[in-house]
Amino acid sequence: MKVPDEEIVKEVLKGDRQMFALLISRYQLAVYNLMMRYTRNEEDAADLTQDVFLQAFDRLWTYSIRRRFFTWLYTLALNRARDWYRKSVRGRKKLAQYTLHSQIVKSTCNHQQILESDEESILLKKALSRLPQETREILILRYRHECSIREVAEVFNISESAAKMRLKRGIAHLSERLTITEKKVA
Amino acid sequence: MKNEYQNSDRIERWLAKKEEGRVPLVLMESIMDEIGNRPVGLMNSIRLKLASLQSIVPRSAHVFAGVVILLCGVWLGTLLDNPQNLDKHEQTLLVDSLRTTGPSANHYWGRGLLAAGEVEPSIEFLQKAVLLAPDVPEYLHWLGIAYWSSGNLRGERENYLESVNLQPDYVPSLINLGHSYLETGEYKKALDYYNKVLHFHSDNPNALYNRALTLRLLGEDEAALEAFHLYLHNNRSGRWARRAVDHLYRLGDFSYRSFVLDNKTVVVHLPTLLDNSVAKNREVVRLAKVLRRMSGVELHLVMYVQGDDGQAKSNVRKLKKELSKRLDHIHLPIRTSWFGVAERLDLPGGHAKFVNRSLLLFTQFTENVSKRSST
Repeated sequence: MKVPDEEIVKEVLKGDRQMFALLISRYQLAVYNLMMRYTRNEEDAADLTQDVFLQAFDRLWTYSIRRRFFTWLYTLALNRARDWYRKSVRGRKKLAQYTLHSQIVKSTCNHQQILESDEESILLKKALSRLPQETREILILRYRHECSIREVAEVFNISESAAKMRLKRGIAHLSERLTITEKKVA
Repeated sequence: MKNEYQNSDRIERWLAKKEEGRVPLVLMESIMDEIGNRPVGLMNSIRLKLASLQSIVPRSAHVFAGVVILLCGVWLGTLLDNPQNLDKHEQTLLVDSLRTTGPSANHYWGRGLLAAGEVEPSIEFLQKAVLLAPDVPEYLHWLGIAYWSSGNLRGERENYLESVNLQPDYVPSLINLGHSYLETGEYKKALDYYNKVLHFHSDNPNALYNRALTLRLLGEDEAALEAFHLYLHNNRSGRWARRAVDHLYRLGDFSYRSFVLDNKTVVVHLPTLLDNSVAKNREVVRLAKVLRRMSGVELHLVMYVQGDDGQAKSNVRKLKKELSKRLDHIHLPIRTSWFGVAERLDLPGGHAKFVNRSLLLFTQFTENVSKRSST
């Protein structure tokens, strides 16, 4: 039986730091994928993922069991991703001697399209990546991570009705892309 | 309507699919290592936050330039934003006057705007700089960067190319051309540019690293291995060194190892450290340099030699002696252990790798430090 996240948090706060590894193993992929969607760069994504978990560890005492641990962590992750994005746009223009690009962009490990045989999936992936960041992340949080509307609203700091509206628009946009392509193929 | 409903249903099911992808091998280890050295608690969280603010060490020239640009920006901003200060005509005149100044002023103004996130206005000034001084590679280079920021790939590359046409060894543009092609998956072209940089500066770390990465992306694993080795030969610190080691692990090469010692990641070439060649001395000196900065910890050396614990013992004691000699008067306790078995490395996916002759390094807080913190 899986140990509840809240129990793990209690143990970590009592001093058993090794238990924190359980939380990392449960959620590192979700956080890493979020960072990959923002940075499109494995190394930056790994660094940001590390930052998020370290921040979570430092702020663990602020976590309240009224919320699911995952949504609390995801809020930290989303804020970190947004901060990075804002700074990276500014950071590109720093007075640096050499390149402003991040050094690594892709790796063979991330070329899922090559392995992807489902054309619809490729299409949806592209369409998803072209959505506004917030809308994309709201969709993923709701459907992929099975968060309730209330949780989605909490993470994004919007009202529940705004969350519903963005979800509806996001789905509509993806649906439109799917329909257009099907017509083209036909 | 029915089609829309069906689409929505398909989309929701697709979105609900499980997470794909793979996190880097060393990520959890890296996080737990950092956590291992962190105290828990509110006051310590505050202390750590304050400590992190002290780690910013900007270069003085950049600080000066940044302050000048910032002051100019603030001054101009107050003038333009405050209608009482200038009327419309004066505002236009002021901006126009900036537009008519020399190339250098336009160039730095453009860079300032770029730094402030004003991409489109920055392009205007940087274009002006290039127009006024078309033979300055740096101006073309920065215009290329501005285009990159605005998502204009063609504009970006054209300007870098123009810059290197003027000065074939202008490394910043060569590097950025490499990155530009890397970003769009044109790996062979990216490789060409990194190789050009290395032709002029054979030890440029940026080009060395990205060349290795590009070779890996091209599927040329043997060449990539060699290239990562070349990078790590002279570059052992920072996150790129850690990344390079991670790439080597994924390629099945464990000759370079990264160890977290007293909260610092140290990259070591084990075969060199454990042999008797001249190169060993350099490896030992490099390791000692890092160890000298440590305090309150003891270093542990654990030697593995498959089937020969006698040799393991002799190797590790010899290494301890060599390191102690290089540490001079620095007090760093070194503890040794040895085993007549191969080192087992547990890899993701449940696989294990056995290394017949290997060394493990780690640090632990000394008893004295532990006692002090508990009182």
